[in-house]
Amino acid sequence: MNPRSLFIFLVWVASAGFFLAGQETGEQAGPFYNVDTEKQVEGTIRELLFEPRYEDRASFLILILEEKKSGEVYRVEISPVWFFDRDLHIGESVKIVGSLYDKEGTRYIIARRLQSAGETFLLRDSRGFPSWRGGKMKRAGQHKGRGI
Amino acid sequence: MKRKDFLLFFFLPFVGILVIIFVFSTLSRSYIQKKTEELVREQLAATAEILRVNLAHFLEEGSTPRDILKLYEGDGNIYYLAILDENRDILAWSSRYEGYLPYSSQDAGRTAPWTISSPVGRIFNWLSPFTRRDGTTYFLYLGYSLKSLEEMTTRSRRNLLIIFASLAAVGVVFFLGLFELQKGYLAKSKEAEEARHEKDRFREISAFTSAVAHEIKNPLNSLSLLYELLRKKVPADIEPEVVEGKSEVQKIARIVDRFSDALLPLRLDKEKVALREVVTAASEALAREIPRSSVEFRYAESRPIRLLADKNLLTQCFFNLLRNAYEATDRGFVSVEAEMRRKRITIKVVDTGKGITPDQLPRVFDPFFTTKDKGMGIGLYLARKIVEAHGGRIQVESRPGQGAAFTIQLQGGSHE
Repeated sequence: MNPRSLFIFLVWVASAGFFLAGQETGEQAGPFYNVDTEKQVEGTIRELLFEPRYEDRASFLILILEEKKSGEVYRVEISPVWFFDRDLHIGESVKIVGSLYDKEGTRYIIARRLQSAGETFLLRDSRGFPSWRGGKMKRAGQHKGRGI
Repeated sequence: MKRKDFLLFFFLPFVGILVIIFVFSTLSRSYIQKKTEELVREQLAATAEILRVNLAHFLEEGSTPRDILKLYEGDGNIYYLAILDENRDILAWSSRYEGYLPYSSQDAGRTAPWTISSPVGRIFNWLSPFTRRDGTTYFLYLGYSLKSLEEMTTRSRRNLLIIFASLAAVGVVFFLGLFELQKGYLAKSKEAEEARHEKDRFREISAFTSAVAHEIKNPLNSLSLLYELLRKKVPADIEPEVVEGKSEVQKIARIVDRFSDALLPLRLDKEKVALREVVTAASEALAREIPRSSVEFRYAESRPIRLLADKNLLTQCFFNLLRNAYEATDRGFVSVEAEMRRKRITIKVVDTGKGITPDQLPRVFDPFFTTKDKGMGIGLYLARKIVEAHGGRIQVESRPGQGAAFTIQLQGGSHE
């Protein structure tokens, strides 16, 4: 076996090994609303973003939220942009209940309930079913208008 | 039948039958639904088994769990699907709804299927193990839509309610109709009963009156003859008083005759007569009796009307009605208006007289009822008797001070 052939063989073995290893441990499961990791976070909005989620099904509103107590930063997934009709502003205080997960060193929350300025938005039901797929968003409190 | 009795004998049994039907239908539907759900569960178990076999096969072939799940994403009835490792940690998942996978640590120990509710209907959940040839155990978590079953159940419930509501509505309408018919029948029976009592009473009065008339007339005839003999024998200076006495006796005899005639049953001698001629004859006969310079007489008919009737009796009827009208009217008019629709003749005798008070109105056709000083209460009674003998009806409407309107309805009319 010449050095060139040996190199190719080693590359192939390494690739196969990597593939098989990945298969054994399973592909990294994507984020879903896991009721086991539900958490409440109260913090201040530091940034508002729009990001595609769930294989680009829709553009989602994402809040970069800094927790008041610990100063920890979360990326909070709210809902598709078209669904959320309340103005949110940088610096505004919000309270979030949602499912927490970590990915690549970043803490993510899929929001189920959002409270802000006396209004409560139910974005998902208790098992995580998205309100935008099952009728109108339930909300309580004073309605302050549309748009982000 | 009273309303309470009607409820007891008709409506309550009907409601009872409805309740029985409803309970029976509901129980049957529940049983069918339960059996259908069992069938669906069995079907889903079979589907899950096929899936597990396929998943094991794909995994053995080297496909990744994520790639395998993509193969099933198009199935409309599978809401979510996940492959878990032997520790029941999720390796890959897919869902029709963004981030929706209602699997929690509490579900990890489940061995039997379970159902959850969601805004898009109930979802059949099953966590079941499958093993690869090399002995590696995996778990399949499946969320299968029960929407079709729920639609079927909803449709079944809706159809049951529609049938039940229709049955109830038809029943209520039917029984209300029955109640109204029965009420009408009872009212007519009551009227008939009252009429029979009235006839009996009248028959007794007639018999009594006829007997009295007969007993009075014989002495009156004798008295009249005595007056005639007396007139021939008395001096000339008192003869006028004797003649007047005879005249008064004869007047009493005529009154008795009228009473007797009024009480006798009518015998009709029918012929085709023109209504205008009958009314005109009555009006002219009356004109000879009662002067009426200030009261106008009017007659109107849309087209000349003929009818099969006893001419003399009908003339007598209109004579009585017109006399009644003229006697009540000082000024204005007395009119006779006739029209015919489908052989049904309606004749109105209207006056602008003093009218009839509400308490007198129901009694105006009664025999011997009168409000006049010189009346005997026979005229209107006889008019009604003649109309009824012809198969017709007579009614009166009046308000005090606003005249009166007598309406006669007769059948069998024709145009000339």
